[in-house]
Amino acid sequence: MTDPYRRTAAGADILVPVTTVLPKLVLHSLARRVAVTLGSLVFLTLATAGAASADVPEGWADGNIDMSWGHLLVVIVAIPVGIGLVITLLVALPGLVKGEGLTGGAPAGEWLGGPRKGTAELAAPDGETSEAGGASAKW
Amino acid sequence: MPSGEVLPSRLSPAQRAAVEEAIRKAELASRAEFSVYVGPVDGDDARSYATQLHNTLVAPARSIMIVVDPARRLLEIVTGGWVRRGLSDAEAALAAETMRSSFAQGDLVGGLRAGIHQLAAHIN
Repeated sequence: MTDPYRRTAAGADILVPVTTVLPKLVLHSLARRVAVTLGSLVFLTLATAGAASADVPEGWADGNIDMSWGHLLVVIVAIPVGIGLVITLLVALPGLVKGEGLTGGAPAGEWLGGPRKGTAELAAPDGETSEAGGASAKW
Repeated sequence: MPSGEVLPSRLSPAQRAAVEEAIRKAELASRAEFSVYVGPVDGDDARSYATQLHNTLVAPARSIMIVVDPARRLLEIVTGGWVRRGLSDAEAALAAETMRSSFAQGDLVGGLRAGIHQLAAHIN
């Protein structure tokens, strides 16, 4: 073990570095071994693997399906579009019945410094005893 | 008979930012809360709707609610009880006249900024 202290000719102690540095050679050797091991594992796995195979599950078609273009279009276009229309109608119908339109009846006003819920739930107007003041104008 | 330019019914992002900046400065200067609503006023009684908006704010007594309906060309300013101690209705009317003048020339944002600044300046 290295002596962490050195002494000058005048007798003063000098602190020297005591950190142990791992030699580069050890690191290179370790990296090479890890790479060789991983490479070997991958190679052996690929070399010994067989072709994947599985039987068609019971109740499934055997792959020879006779489907017309019309039937195919119905399956991949008409059915999804129909489902989308039904969902849209279910979402929009309550607002349309109430006469609020597709926008939910929300007013187009902008409220700066107002509550997040906007004008959806307003408090009651001022009554006779109100202390509020203000002014009005028209142009 | 309505006269003057037609105001936009909605604020652009830049216009909104300009009004919000005026609100921030006014709130810092006056210690009152400012709120601006630009849009349709429900019902025939604009004052009643403006007080509904005002009473929905977090602290109505310390708040000033400015309501502008560009389509109906009307402006309402509602001042809370605390604000009213420093800002009289006559002073609010002066600010309303400033805003009305700008709105009649089609300057919605300029009118709002000038009115907000004037209201804040009057609050003692």
